[in-house]
Amino acid sequence: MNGMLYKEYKQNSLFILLTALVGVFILPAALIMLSQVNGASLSTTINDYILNKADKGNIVFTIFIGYLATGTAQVLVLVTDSKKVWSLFIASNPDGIRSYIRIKYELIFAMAVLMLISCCISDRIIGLISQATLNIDIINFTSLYIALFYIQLFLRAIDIPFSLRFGIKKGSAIKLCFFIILFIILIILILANPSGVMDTLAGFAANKKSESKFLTEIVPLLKGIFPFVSAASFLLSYKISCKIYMKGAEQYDK
Amino acid sequence: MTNKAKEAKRLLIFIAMVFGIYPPLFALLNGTVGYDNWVGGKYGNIALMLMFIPAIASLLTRIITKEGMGQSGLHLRLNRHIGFYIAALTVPAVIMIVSALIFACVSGEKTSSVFGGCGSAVQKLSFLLNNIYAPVPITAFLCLGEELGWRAYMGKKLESLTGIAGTCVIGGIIRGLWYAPMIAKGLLFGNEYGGYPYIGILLVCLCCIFEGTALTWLTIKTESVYPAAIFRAVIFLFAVNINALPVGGFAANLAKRGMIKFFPVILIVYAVAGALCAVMMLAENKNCKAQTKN
Repeated sequence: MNGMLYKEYKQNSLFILLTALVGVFILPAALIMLSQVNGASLSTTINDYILNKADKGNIVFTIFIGYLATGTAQVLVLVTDSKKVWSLFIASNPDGIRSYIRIKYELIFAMAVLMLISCCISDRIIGLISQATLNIDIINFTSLYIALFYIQLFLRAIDIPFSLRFGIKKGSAIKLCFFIILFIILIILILANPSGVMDTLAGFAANKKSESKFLTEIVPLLKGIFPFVSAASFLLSYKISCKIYMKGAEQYDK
Repeated sequence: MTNKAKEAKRLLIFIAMVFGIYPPLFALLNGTVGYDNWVGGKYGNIALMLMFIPAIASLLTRIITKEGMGQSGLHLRLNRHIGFYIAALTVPAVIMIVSALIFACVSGEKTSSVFGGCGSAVQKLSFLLNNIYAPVPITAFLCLGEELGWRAYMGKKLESLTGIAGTCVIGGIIRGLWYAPMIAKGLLFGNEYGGYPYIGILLVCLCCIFEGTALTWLTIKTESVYPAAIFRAVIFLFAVNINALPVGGFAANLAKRGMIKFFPVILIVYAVAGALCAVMMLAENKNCKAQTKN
């Protein structure tokens, strides 16, 4: 290993290690949180989970939040280089900015994959242990982790350009404003209900169990397309980051 | 010791490791857990973990021979090679769907019903995207376990010793023989076919030669092992979901006629793809030699 990749590995080995460890602890952490929320003892929650009695929705929701929250640590690999001198040094090399940004994106992608793999491996090991000791098939969350991986990739595609352009702190604040504006627009849409959009959505929700075309055809298709959308947005985000990097670097030491 | 002798020694150690770790583990698992339980049964996860034996063997060989981690193929090299990554995602789909179509036609399916069944066109597309393409990252990781051994280590050594043609043929045979204990136990084809288990092992060896040619081409072009792992992941996911392939009447035919009848069709399509890759590799090799002479 040499060059930029070696530098990134040395600088961020702690984050990489933490990412690998997240998978091992995500399910136990979800169960602990669930026991706290429900006010039940941990052993009862684990028992319910093993015997498939626990509310699957609650576990899925807790894993969802935990996975995405810990995933934000991936942006921290950008913090270590937020210095103007370093940016100028990078820019002084031929093809420096592109290769620097590319390595950052590759590292963040590798960390996302590492997290997915560690989650899936721990899931499989828990499954093996429960089979060997109790002869019980416990819930497998592999497909949830795969979905979360793509969501995470999509969120990073939005995160990274903001962080590079405005710095981590300012970037997070601007990103938050961006999401608040989106949220407000959504609320206005719900309240204004143009062309009965909400009525239509409510109709879909009410017909959840029926064989509506939306649920049998459109939703699976959107689910299937999303991985490609997130991969494409990640690539597009890389192109944008290459363009805005120097503009952001001007503000690093202010 | 000359360079070639060194490479040969390393290759022999790797092969001894791969074949030394796997059969004893295979026998141990069969004796304790039971074959049906650990291959696709309730302990099916163990079979997936065994895919890492070639990677472990290559790592151990590198440590024993003090070779270091050079040419590990672990760099993504996405830059300028994105086309090969896209090829690794799409070509296996073409291979499997064309094979299924040929099989459906050869086995007497009416042309009108070949594309029928299995829901609407949107549902077929959703099935492909959700069940075959979405799990590619995690499946590619499992395939990486094998490819780090076969392509990134054994392939490189064979290439320096026997050239590209030797790499594809000898490498394919070695890989095919590695699967032999499982084929002999009934993996893929069961155990009720003429010439069992030798015909099954022969078919797998041929498949490994043709598939290996395409994988070697991808690895040489990108100097990375990931496209090969992605290629195999897509093939693997197609194979797992084979009975639900969006080619009408396919499932029924396959259930009736068995995998042993379908496999030669895949082999023919694979052979065409492998031959194309071999021609491209040999032509490039010739050009390189001509340029060095000039």
